[in-house]
Amino acid sequence: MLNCIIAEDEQQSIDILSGMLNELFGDDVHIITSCKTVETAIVAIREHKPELLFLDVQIGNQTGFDLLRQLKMKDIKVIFITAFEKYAIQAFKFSAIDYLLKPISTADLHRAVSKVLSLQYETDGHKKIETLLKNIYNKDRQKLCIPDMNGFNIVEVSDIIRCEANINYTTIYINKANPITVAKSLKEFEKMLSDFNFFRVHNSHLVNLNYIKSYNKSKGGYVELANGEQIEISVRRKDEFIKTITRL
Amino acid sequence: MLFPVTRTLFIAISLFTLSFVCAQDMAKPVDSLKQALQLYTASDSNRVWTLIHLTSATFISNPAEAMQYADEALSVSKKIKWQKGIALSFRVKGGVYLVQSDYMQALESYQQALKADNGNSKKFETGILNNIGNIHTSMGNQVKALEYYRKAFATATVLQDNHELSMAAGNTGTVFQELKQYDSAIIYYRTSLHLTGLTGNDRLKSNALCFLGSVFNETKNFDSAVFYSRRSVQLADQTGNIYVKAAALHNLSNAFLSEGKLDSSEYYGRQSLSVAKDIGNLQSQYESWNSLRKVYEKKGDYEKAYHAYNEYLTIRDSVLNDEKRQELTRKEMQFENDRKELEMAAALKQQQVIRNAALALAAVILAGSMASFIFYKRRKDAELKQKEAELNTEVTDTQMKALRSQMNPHFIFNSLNSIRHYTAQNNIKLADEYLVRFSMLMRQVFENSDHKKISLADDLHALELYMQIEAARLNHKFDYQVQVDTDIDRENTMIPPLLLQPFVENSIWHGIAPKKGNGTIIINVSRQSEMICCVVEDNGVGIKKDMIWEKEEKKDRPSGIGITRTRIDLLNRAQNANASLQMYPLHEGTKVEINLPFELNF
Repeated sequence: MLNCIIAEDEQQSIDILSGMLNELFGDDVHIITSCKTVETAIVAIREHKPELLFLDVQIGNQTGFDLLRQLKMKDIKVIFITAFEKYAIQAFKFSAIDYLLKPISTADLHRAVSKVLSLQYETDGHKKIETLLKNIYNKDRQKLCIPDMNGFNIVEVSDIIRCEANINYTTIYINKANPITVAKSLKEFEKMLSDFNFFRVHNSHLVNLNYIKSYNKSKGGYVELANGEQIEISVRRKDEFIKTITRL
Repeated sequence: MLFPVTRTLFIAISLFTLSFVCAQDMAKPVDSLKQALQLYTASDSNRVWTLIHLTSATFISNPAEAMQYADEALSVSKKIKWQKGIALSFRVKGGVYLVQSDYMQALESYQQALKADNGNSKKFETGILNNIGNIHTSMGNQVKALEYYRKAFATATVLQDNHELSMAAGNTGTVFQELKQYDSAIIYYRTSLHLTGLTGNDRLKSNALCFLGSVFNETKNFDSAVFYSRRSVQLADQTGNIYVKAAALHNLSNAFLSEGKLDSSEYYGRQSLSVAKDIGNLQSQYESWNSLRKVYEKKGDYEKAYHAYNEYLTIRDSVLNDEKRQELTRKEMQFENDRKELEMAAALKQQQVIRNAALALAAVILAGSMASFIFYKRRKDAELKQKEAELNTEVTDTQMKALRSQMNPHFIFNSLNSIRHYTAQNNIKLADEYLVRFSMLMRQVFENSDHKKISLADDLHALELYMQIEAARLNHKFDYQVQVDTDIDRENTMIPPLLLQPFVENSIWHGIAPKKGNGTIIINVSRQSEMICCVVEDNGVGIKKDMIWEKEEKKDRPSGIGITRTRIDLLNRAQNANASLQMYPLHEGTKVEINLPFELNF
C-alpha cells in the first residue's frame, strides 16, 4: 500500500483527485490526509512521512516549490500538478520531471502513480528536484537535466554551445565536456531554450548566440562558433537571424 | 489535379478575342490583301494597315508568315512614328504568339500595345484586357484572369459593344467552369451565344457553341455536349475557324470517351490532333494526346497509351512550367513599374514646362536652389513612403493578431456549449473524458494562436483533437480522415493557425449533424507548385453556397468563416500573396478549398 498526502488548496480538486485514485487503485493507494496550505502540509508530511506527495504548484499565496524548499526531505516522491503556470511547466521540462496537467486525465494519473508503485521512480529523483528548485529560485543560472541511458546529466544552460538534430534524437554540444545524445526532438529543445538566447539557424541546428564568434555570408551563410565549428544557416532563417543578432 | 480537363477550353478562349481582331477584315481575302501590299510600297500608314490586315487574315492558317507581316508593320509604324500603328502591330503580334501558346511573348506584346495606345481607344483597351485575361487563364491564375475580364466587361458595357461583351461573357464563363461553378458558367456561355447571334458573327458563334459543348462534357450531359460541339465544328469549318475546330473536335472525343464509344472517341481525338498540329497549337496537341491515352488505356492497347502519354507530357511541359509562371509575374510587375515611371516622368515634364515659362527670367538664378529643393523633396517623399509602408505592415500585423485572438473565445464558448450538452445527455464518465480532451485542445489553441504561422503538423494535431471532441459529442456520428501528400514535410511546412477549424465546424454542425446516418470528413493537404491546397470535404446534407456567404455577410458579429476570410485578405495584403478561399456545394455535401502560399520554416 502506498501512503500519500495531497497538498492542494481547492477542495473540489482534492475531491476529484481522491475519487480518481480510489477508482483506479482502490486499496493500493491510501490517502493519509490532504492539506490546503503550505504550513499544514509541512507539518503533516513531517509527522506521517508519506511515500508520495501530490503537490499543486499554486497553493494559496505560496507555491509547491516553497513547500519543497522548506521541507528539505530527500526520500519523498513527488507528483506535481499544475493548471497553466507557464514558468512551472518550463521548469519541469528543464529538470526532466513528469507533471500532471489540470484537469487531470485518468490515463496520465494512472501512468504516473503506476511508476511509483512499480518502483520505477528514479532513486536519485531528489537531484532533479534540487535542480528544479535551483532553476526556480536562481533565474540567472539555469540548469538542464538531460536524461541518458544511465540516468541524467545536469548541465548549465550557459555551457551549451549548440544542439544538433539527428532524426528524432538530439546531440547537445557542451563547453569543455563530452557531447550528450538524447531521445528528444530538436523542436523540444528549441521551445525550452529560445528564451535563453538560443536560435534555430537551420532545420538541424540550434545555436547558443553567446558562442557565435563570427558570421560569414559566403557559401550561403554560416556562423563560426567559439569552438571553431562552422554551422550553416538556412536561407529562410537568414533575415530573422541577422535581425536577432543585431539586437544583441 | 494540376491540369484539369477543363484546360481544353482555353484553346477556344484565346480565339474568342482573336477572332475579334480579324472579324472586321474577313471580307478581304488574303490574295487581294497581298495585291494591295504591292500597291502600297511606300512606308506609310496605308502599308501598315494592309500588313496588319494580312497578319489578321493569316495568323491562324500560317502563324510564321503572319509574324513577318506583323514585324514589318511594327517597324514601319516606328519609322513613321505612328503611335496607333505601333499599338495595332503589337496587338496582332500578341495574337500570333497566343495561337502558338507562347504566353510570355504574348503578354509582352499586349503590354507594349497598351503602352503605345496610352488609353486613346476604349475599344482597343477592352480587346487587350480580354486577351491578357486569357493568358492568365491559360497559366492557371483564375483570380487575375477574372480581374481582367471584369475590366473588359465594364468597358464593353460602356461602349455597348456586343462583340466585346460576348467575348467577356464567354471568357468569364470559362473561369467559372474552371472553378467548377457550372451553373454560372452555363449562364455566361448562353449569354455569350445570344450576343454572338446579335452580332451575326458565325466565327464568334462557333466559339460560344464550343464552350457550351465543353461545359456539358463536365456536367456529364453528353447528349448536349455532342450536340453543341457538332454545331461548333460545323460553323468553325464554314468560317475557317480552325482553332475552335480543334477544341470542338476534342470535346467530341471526350464526350464519346465518357460514353464508352471508344472508336468514335479515337476518331475525333486524331482529327483534333491533326488540326492542332496544322496550326502549331501546343495546348490543343497535348490535350488531344491525353484523350487518346485514355482511349488506348480503355482499349487495353498499352503500348499506344504509353506513347500518347509520353507525347502528352513532353508537349505539356514545354508549355507550362513553373519557370514560365514566375516569369509572367515578373514581367507584369516590370510593366507596372515602367508605366508608373512613364506617368511620373510625363507629369514632371508638364510641371517643368509651366514653371519654366513663368520663371523664365529668374530661371538661372533659381536653378541652383530649385535643384536642391527637388532633391530635398524627393528624399523627404521617399522617407515618407517608406514610413507609410512600415506602418502598413504594422497595421496588418496588429489586425492579424487581433483576429487570431478573436478566434479563441469563439472556439471556447462553442466547445463549452458542447460540454454542457454532453453532461445533460450522457454519463459523467464520458463527460469527464470529453473535458480532459477539451483542455488538451485549449492548451494547443492558446499556444498556436501566439504565432503568426505554425507547423502543419501542429495545426492538424489541434484539428484532429477538435474533431475527436465533436465526434464524441455526436456519439461518433462521423469519422474523419486526414490526408497529407507524401511530398509535404508536415513539421517544416508553415501555415497560419486555425484557418481550417471554422470549416470543419461547419461541416460537422451544418453538414453531418442534420444528416440521416453517418458521415465522413476528409481533410486533404496537397502541394501545387508554389501553393499549398487545404481541402475540407464532407458528405453531409450540403449547403447552398450562396446561402452561406449571404448569411455570413449579414451577421453583425464576426463569424469563424468571416474572420478566416478577412485573415486571408490580410495575408494577401501583407505578403503580396494570392491566397484564396472557395466553397463548393458537392453532389452530396460541401467542399471548401483554401489555397495558401507554400512556405517552409527552414
